[in-house]
Parts: sequence; structure tokens; C-alpha cells
Amino acid sequence: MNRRNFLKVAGIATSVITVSPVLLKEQNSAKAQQQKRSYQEALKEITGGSPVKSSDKVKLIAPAIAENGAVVPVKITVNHPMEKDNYVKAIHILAKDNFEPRTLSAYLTPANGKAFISTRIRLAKTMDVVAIAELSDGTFLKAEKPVKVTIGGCG
Amino acid sequence: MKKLALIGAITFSIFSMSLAQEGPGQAISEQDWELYQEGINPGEVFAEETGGALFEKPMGPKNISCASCHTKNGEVEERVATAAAYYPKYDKDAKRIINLEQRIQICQSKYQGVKPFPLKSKENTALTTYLFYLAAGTKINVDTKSPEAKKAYDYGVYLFRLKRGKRYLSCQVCHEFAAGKVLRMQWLKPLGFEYNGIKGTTAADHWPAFRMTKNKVQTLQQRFQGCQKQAGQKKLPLGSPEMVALELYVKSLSNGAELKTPGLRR
Amino acid sequence: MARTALVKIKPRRYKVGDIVTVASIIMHPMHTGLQKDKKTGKVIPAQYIQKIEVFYGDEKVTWMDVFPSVSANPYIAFNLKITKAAPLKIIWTENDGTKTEKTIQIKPKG
Repeated sequence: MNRRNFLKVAGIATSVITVSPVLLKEQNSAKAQQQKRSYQEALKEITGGSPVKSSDKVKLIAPAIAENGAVVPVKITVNHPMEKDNYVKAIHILAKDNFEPRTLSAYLTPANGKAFISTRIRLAKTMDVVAIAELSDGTFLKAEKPVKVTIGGCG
Repeated sequence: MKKLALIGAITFSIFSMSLAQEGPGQAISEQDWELYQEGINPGEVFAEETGGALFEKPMGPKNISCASCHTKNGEVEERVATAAAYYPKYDKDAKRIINLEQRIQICQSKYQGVKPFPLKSKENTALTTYLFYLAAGTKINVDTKSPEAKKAYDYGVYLFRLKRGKRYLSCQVCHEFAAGKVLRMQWLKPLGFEYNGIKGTTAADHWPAFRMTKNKVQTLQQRFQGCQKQAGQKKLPLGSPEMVALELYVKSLSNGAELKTPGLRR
Repeated sequence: MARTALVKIKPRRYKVGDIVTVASIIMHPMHTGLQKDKKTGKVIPAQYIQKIEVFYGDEKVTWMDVFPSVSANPYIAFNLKITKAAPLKIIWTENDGTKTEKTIQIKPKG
């Protein structure tokens, strides 16, 4: 092969190896997979180390397969009174594998009437979503649900 | 060389068949989709606040707004408030079939005396979305019978079925032939009421829609461009006779369906 | 920058003693500070809603810590027990201190 042909082939090979914009986009979202802090650390910030018990008093509704990762609807109801000295003090929503596992913490009072929160969160990929109810007596209850997330579809 | 092409073709068809899987549990369920529909649609806020504000904004040498001509007693007149259900249609000023986005442009240049907002602009999309928002509840009724409309309709059908681009796909391949299957965790559905017994999405009744993955409202033609890009086809320009023909055809498939705009989509 | 925010009560008609749903939305991109601008290649600085406070009359009835992993155009709904006719005020505060306020009137029927 003479020099001219070699350079031509090398040139084509180089342009093929150049990273396409699509791949770069994947890398950007791959960055989200590294974590600023772990789920356990985020949990400790909320509970201070107190035990968290799974309870079916905490109803966590989220899609089994999310339509997309940018908008995932999450609804939480806690079946517990909202009276002056006995109420749900806060509902914390965590996404276990997000860069920052905490997403929203809503601090409630008896004036709410019912312990309920509905919002939309971002999930970097398939992961568990955790709802933690903090009661006025210091107890922590939780419910977890895996949500499948994919880039999916045609654009 | 021919052998290679044959192997390539076989590989491709096996590959594409494995991608399109049937069966529930592979894509979002009806029940879970309802969760998305609860709550406030950012598209509605965009329609009311951004679109509504532009509708009231005085512009041009005469300093008039859309509202100056099109509101009576504080309400947008019926003809304009329901217009979205009838476009694309023949326009006397343009002397051809155009869609609502283009009619807004004509109103701007002819009556307000300003350079109209481009079709891909946020402003034109906002005004279009506002009109579709006002028309929510009106039954879609796109004319396909008059001579000009029939020509555009037939052209639209032709374009819908035309295979082109590097993957040699047509709209028909996904939205008719492969309808009912799941591709990359999304349902492939017909765009009208139904096709071959598979329930369709009556696509035209929920566009313009707020697209969650793009974080903005897109019109139907803008969505077509997204589809074309993903299918490996060269995008057709907004407002071109081809796009208007496609829009007319796709919208006519939902004739009779009530507008539920703006929609909320992935 | 004035952000558009909406507050709605469901159901529209309610009386004292009812528990209604307050639905709120604020148009905001919620930049996490992790993404790069596709055109310039520069990191988009973090700009997001960090705190929400809800006042029913003079009382702060609900407040929230919001993190950037809440979806753009944050939509948040919660319950409220109707006890009186009073303004319902929501204040959204961003990480740089910018505030947006929206007040609606709670008007129980009967």
C-alpha cells in the first residue's frame, strides 16, 4: 500500500473512532451513576441512626416501569393519625442509586389532615425508591419499591 | 458482494424481530400511565401563561394583539377558540393547505404587520398550544373531501407508507405493521382509533404535548421530526407541503375524537 | 426572574372540616449542576428549588426540603384540612436565595 492510500485509510479509521454525540450523552448520564454519598449516609442524615422498620402503613405508589427517567410520579400515603401529639412529622423520599439519594422531605403538621405527598422525581436508572415516614414519637417506618427505568422508545 | 448483502439483510431482519417483542409487562401498564395523568401538566401552564400572554400582547405598527380581534366580551370568540380541531385545511390567504401554526404566521404578517414567529420558535409553539388548549373538548374534524384536501390526504398516505432513510423504514412499519409490539420498552401503536384490531392512540387528539424527556411542549410536526430523526431519516422541514400532508392524514385518522390538549408524553 | 407558579385546590368546592388536596407547580428547569451544555461543553451551574414553605393564614403548616433530583417543573401535592377562610401562601426558595410566592384564597362554602 503506498503512503497516499495508507493516510486515506488511517483518516477514515480515525473519523470512525471519534466518539459520537450519542455516546457522549450516555457518558453524561453515566456520571449520574457515581454517587455524591451513599444511600446509607443519606438515610443516617434523616434518622440519626435510629432503626427504620418496614410497615404496610406506608403506601408507596410508583410505576413498576417508568415511562422515562426524567419524570417518575411517586405518591405516598401514611395510614396514621394526624393529631396534635400523634402525627406523621415528615415523609422522606429517597432514590437509592441516585447521585444524591435524597429527593424530597416534606415536613407535615396536624393541619394537613392526612399524611400524603405526591410528586415527580428523577431516577438515573432502574433502582429502588424508598418512602420513610417519621412519626412525632421518633419512630421511622418505611416502604420500598423497585422502579424500572430505561432510555427506551424512539427518542 | 451479493452474498454479504444477503447475510446482512437476514441478520438485520432477525435483529429487528428480536427487538420488537410482544407481551405485557414489557412496557408501562395502563394503570401506571394514569399516575402520569394525575397532577398538573406543565404543558397547560405553558399554554395558559406563555401562550395566553402572547395572545394578549400588542405587536406591530398598529399595536394590536391576537386578542384585539379575536375576543368578544372578554372571551376568545368561538371560531378561533375551536379552530385547532379543523386544521390542517385550505386557506384562502395562502391558497393552499396549511396548518394552525402557519395560519398564526399569516395573521401576524397580514393583520398585525409584523415578521411572524418562525415555526420552530417557542413563541409560535406557545400560541399554537394556547389555541389547542382553548379547543380542548372539541371533536377533531379535518376535511379530507374537498379537491385540495383530498390531494393533500393522498399525498399524506403516500408519505406515511414511503420507506426511506438509512434503516429503510416508513411510518407505516412501526405504526401499522409492528403495531401492538414493544420496541425498547415502548408500545408501538396505530395512530388512529385502531388498526387490525389493535387499539390506537388517536395521536392527533393529544398533540401539542409536553414532552417529559425534552422538558418542553412540541407540536405534532415537531414530533414528526423527532420520529424521523430516530428512524434514521432526513427531517422534513416544518410547514413543508410534505409535513402538512402527513399532518392532515394523521389528524384525519382521529376525526371524531375530542381534543385533549395539551397532552403529556414521554 | 419571575417564575410561573400555580396552586390549585381539589375539589373546587369544599367546606370547613373537609380535607382537600393542594396541588402546586412551579416552572423551573431544576439544573442539578451535573449536566453539560451540549453546545458550549460547559457545566450548567446548579439552579434548583431548595425549599418550599406553606402558610395557611399566619401558620406555617407544611415545609419541604427539595433536592435537585425532583423533576423539572416541580409538581407537589399534599393535603390540607379546611378550618377557616384564609389566604394560602406558598413560597418557593431556590439555592441562590431567589424566591417565588403564590397566594390563593381558601373560601369554604357554607
